[in-house]
Amino acid sequence: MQFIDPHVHMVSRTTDDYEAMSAAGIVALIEPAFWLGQPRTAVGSFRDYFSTLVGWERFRSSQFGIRHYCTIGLNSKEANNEPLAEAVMDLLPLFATKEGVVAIGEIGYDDQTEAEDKYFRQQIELAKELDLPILIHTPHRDKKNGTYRSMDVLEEHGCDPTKVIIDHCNEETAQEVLDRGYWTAFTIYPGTKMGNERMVDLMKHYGPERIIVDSSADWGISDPLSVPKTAALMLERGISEADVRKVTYGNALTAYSQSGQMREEHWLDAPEIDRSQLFSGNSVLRNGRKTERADNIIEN
Amino acid sequence: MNTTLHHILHRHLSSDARDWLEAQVDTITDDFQPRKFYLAFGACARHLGNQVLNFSETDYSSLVAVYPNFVATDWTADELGRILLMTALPTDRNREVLDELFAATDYREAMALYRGLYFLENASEFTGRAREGLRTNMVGVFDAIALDNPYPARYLSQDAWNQMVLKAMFMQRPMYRIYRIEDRKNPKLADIFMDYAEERWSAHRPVSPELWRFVAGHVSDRSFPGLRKTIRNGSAMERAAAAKAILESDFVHARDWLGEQAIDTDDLPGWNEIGRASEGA
Repeated sequence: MQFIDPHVHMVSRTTDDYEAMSAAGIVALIEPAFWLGQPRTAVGSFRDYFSTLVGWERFRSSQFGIRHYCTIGLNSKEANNEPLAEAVMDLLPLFATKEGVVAIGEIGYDDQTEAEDKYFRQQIELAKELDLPILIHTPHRDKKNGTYRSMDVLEEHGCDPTKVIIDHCNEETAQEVLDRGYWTAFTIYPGTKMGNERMVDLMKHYGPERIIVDSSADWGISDPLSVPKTAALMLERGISEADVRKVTYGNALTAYSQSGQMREEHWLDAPEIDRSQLFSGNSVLRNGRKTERADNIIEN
Repeated sequence: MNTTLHHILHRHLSSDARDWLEAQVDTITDDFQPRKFYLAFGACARHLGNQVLNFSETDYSSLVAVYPNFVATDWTADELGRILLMTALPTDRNREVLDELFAATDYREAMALYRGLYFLENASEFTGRAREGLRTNMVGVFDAIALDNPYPARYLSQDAWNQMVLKAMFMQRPMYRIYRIEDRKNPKLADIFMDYAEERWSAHRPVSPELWRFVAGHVSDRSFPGLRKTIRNGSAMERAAAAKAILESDFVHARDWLGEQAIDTDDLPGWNEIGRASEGA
């Protein structure tokens, strides 16, 4: 089967992960702009990060045959540093229309402060101006209120819910998010978010419509194979292949292709990984190395 | 603004694309504001498309007059649209405005910018930028500067040129596509390439036959042992390249030695042919 992981932070991952993801059938991924585990202190750090998302990481991914897309936005945590947030807001127009930018995101609330609210609203307006989908990060703490408040604000700004993905949903928030017409995404992330057995139960309860599964794998203990592993568990537990395909591939594609930047032919018609792009020196794949491991031999 | 590019591109765009691009050009030339330029530059992909343009012989002769080697590669509509917009910038501000853009490009934008440098009236002021671009690890971006592009041969200093050529070899790029190789060969580069060849042999790695092109003309006691070794032990293509290097040099000792070897030097392939045959090998 082919999979899309519509939420994964590859800047934190190794080439082993890329190899494993490719081998597991992931053909495309979306890397939302988020924070890096510690707060940035200068706008230049944001500039270089956004530039990595639209440039270097996209290239790195392509070397493993995986199409890379991203979302651009100021995350809610760092929105609380207002002078910095202002400078980041000025950067966004420079990046939001780059190739492969499929949404404004991940935006929303962390602590639900006034500053978070201000930049959330400004970015909703930017998405509307550029006619881009929106990816919403729902908070860990006070999740239910944070999720509902996010939807209230989106509706206040007249957003079409079919162009909005509400991520990190759980058993407590899913019904309301679905009822209000949004794409409803679940993150399979051990410990802090949810394991995939819960996801199987959710699927049995809600069916596949408007449901999206992602890994949100990042710098924490997380699993970039969450999507294919969850698909395997769903199949094992009797969910039909068509339904599994919807939640691990089709729905994400439909939601984000509304940006005009993500199309199935990007990977279906893609040539083999361009071997002319493999080179030695400081690149990703060294000296035409093979991807299979061979005992203790490190290839020359 | 580059008027040749403007006129030719104009004729190759659909009417919608043309109207959009003209409006952007007007905005930039009448009332220049960086923000509008950045938005237009990014949006070229959305309004002009990424289809390869087919030029007539007449188009090509006009374009080659302003951009040598224009015929060597394909050019897409959005790429040339972007280049046109960059040439429309006021030259007294284009370094500052483009520096900002270079720091925020996506892959294809970066390639368009580097391929377009030669079109700028003040192209000579962008050598630092070109050198910075050559530090990339993204092959497409490196190629956009190093291969087929007339900019490096005309503007880079010898040290910068040598670094570029050496990096191209490290990256296993098709060396024959570097524009004006012959004109810019130099003895220093020949020596650096001999060091590189020895490093490769020590590591039990092959040496590209294209390497000998940079030694040709500068064969000396420094390179002769390596050439001898290649002619004795190399593949057919490596032997041919090493023999050519000796024949194209006036180092008599090596030429005499070559004459004594059982190697047919009458029908050696051209350097470009050697390059093409080595590509992807």
